[in-house]
Amino acid sequence: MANPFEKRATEYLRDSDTFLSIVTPEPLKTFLETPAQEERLYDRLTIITGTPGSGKTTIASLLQFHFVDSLRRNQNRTGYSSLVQALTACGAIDEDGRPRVAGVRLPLEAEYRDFWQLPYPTATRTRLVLALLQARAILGWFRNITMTGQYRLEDLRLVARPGAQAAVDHMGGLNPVAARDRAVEVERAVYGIGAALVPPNSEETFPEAARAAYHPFDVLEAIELKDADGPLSVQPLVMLDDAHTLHPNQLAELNRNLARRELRIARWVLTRVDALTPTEALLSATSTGTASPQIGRDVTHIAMQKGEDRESQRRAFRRMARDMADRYLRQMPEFSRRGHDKFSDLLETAAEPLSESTLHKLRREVDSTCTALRITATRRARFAEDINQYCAGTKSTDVGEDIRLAMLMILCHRYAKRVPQATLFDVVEDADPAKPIKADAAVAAGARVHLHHKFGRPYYYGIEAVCDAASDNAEQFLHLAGRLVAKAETRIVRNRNAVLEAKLQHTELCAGAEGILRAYDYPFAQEVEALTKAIAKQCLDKTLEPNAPLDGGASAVGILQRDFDAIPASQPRLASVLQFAVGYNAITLAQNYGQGGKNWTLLELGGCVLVSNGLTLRRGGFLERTVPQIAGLLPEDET
Amino acid sequence: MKGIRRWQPCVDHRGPETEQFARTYFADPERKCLLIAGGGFDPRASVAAGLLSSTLGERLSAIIVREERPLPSRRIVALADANVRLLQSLVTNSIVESIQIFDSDGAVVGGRNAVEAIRKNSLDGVTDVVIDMSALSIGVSFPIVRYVLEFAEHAEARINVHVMVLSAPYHDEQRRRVSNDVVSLVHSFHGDLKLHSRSESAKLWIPQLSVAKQSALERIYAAGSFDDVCPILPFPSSHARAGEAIAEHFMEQLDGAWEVDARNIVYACEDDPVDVYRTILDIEEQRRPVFEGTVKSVVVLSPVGSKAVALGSLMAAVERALPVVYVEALKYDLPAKETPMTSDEIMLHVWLHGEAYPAAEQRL
Repeated sequence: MANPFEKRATEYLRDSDTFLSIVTPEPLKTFLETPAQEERLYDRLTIITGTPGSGKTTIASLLQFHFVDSLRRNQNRTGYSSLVQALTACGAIDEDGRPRVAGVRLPLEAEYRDFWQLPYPTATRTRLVLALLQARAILGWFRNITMTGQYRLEDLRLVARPGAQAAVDHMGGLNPVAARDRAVEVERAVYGIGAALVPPNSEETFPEAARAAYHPFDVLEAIELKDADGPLSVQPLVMLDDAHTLHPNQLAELNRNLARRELRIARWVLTRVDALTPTEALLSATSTGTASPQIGRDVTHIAMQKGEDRESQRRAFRRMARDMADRYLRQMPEFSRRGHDKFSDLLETAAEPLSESTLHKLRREVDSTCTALRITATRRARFAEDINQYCAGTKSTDVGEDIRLAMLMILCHRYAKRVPQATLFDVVEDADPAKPIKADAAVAAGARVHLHHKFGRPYYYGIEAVCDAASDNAEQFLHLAGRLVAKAETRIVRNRNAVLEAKLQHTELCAGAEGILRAYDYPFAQEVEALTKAIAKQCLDKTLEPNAPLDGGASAVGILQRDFDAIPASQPRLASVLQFAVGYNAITLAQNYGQGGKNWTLLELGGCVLVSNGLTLRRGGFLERTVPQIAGLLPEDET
Repeated sequence: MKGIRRWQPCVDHRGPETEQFARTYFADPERKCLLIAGGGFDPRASVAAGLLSSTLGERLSAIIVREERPLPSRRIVALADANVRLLQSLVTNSIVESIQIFDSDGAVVGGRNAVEAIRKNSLDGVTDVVIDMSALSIGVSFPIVRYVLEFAEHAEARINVHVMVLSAPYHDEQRRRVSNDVVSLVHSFHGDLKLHSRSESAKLWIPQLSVAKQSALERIYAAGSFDDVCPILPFPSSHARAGEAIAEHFMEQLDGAWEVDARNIVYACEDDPVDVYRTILDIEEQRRPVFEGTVKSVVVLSPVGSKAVALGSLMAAVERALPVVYVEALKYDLPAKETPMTSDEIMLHVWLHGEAYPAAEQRL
């Protein structure tokens, strides 16, 4: 494998060893550990939602039986033990290291949606899809279990729930070979109906295998395997990935069917956020709308983005991203030969101060600002002392003279705004400000962003900047990290120090972010681009105000929560644009954000948008706006 | 070893030959021709109709397929309306069939709707059906061609099936679009790709590289689990560096995620569908015996670029039941000023079924 970062999506990696050597256990811990501990992961329908690239497929892939079995047999290999621990924590492996579930991932591709177009009653269309899914699940379980060569199909024992004899007969009996043959027959018959150029006129003309009842999900309770350590009983787990492909009514039918309590198999449905309706995707209540049975009692819902505690979610993503990058890096012999096994070590964290000539220019600018704002020498000295005091006490090492001067500029402007304005005839000398002015980390953050825009001082560098620029999206992170790794690799090949200085990191991150934005090609992409550009422009204008009123700057606009809740009804076009903006990480929603005694929804710009516009990656700074103001940023509707 | 091929030899024409063929072949007063053409914004929409109507006159009828996509811009609608009016003036005996490409939930349903639209119109009494693919998307044109072919093969009276394309690769490459975000199989071009028994098969993907469809191709690759990739680049081509320019755009994919060996790049003449057809069948035939005794081989096509290559891919897909994977266009963006058609464009004709292939008819 050349540069594994360029592979990005784990779907590309089918080989067990390669997959397991780069996959990180963090998503399992973050999203599955709690519901597993609460024992609501395998006994009822579980619906997992997330944006594209957020790791849904990785989770589902990792839970597949052949990966789980490979892992437990090779626990001593580097990196495997953490995966085993994570699988144990989420209940897929028991304390003795034996699998508890036999997972199979079935991607719900467009062919399943095709059944909704067939000219038959809803019940028939649903029955066909369910039959196809169940046949493929049976084949998938058998394939997963026998793939590693440890178990033979003939040795498996299917365990049926009591009182389901008729359904057992329909699935071909409990003999695994007969059950497989029946599944092959059903799959081919149903597939033929969906794929036909012209579908059969009526059910009477269906092949026999597609007409007969077929309900293995209603029957199966466990699969018993002859393991070297004694008999092993596993609960079948089916993971229906990309369920957003289905028609909403089709998905609702499917979910209703899978939510039935009498089912003994574990069943998960994984779907994308943007697949929900605008109302479902945008509104704060955790909902899967019509596609879902009653939440809570029948269903476990796991939202990979809509966490209440966003700070801890960001920290969790940073952990996951670091781990993932380190695993990818270990696959590259150029780095392991030189002892580079940590991605973060390739990124220099020292700031790159301004050159002496630029610094000189900045000094003169500070002088002229003080003169223009009538800042007395005493006041200036007091500010300088405050700044020095902050710099001495802070943990940050990025507090060189350039930062101190930029902080001084900000303090001077803040002072000028907070003292009574002098008139021609009434000069107030060195008045005390209405509100105390202090030098702190927030002012330093403002200084950094100002220096970036005024003098091109590198702003985005270090592992946290890479993580935050990815908006909690694993695939975007790997894209951005991949560029940096490629640069470091070139240096190694040229016998130079692989560690990348801040300036290069900044340049590569900006180019990477712009590349990601340029490649966006999805419904409403142009409208999303126009909207985010306009919001970014307004945020930038605010950020660059000389007194840095929002410290490090704005990265979002805020709409009153009650107004935001009305968007799907009052502004359907804006709702659709926001739905896809959220789905593709161009915008992140932070709902019920309390500030100034009001409840807000923040439309936070995605990491790549922030980076390409030179805005802060810190959250919290926002501009107050109304819904019409936001809708007015959309390009003219050409329809 | 090469097997028997349905379209080798193939009756096909290019440029002036096509015009000459149309003028002589359709001059026979016994011929009654049905034209199936796209009634969209594409400036190529009416060229074949003009050529046929000048010879056939009243003996020509047409089904104008109008592909409806959500929220089209006013400019696109106006251009499509103008093209439909022009087509109707050229072929007075014509009907317009509007088909929805997307369902209300965004699912791709155009191919199925197109087949239904053609099915409800009788082909009785027609001696020739010409499908003009120039202004039809592959999601619509492929199922239509397959349906007409199957109908003609089983019809009691002989029906000749022709496909025409105004090849304009530069135009195709310039066309910007917004892709739907779901990878689909073209309706009725599923092959056995999705059968569980094929999940272990060695999958070879033959995408036609196109800069305008780069993100769509990336999406297809991500969804496909392909073992090998043999991208098609245009060569020879009217613009000598067209292939290189496209390859340059795809460098990250070719070198990185797709891991394409330089020897796996397929060069096919950009305006010769039969060359594309033969090339794909050559690959398929060389590969099949290698995997025959084990996991079996599956060749998957994604002819998302120029129309001529799409036609060649269609022929290969029909003959070998190859799956065709694509990403449907959600909408098209027109450049501020549409490039007018020039004399560089070549009208292609391929005769797919009928009296040109008496041996094949006998077999059927």
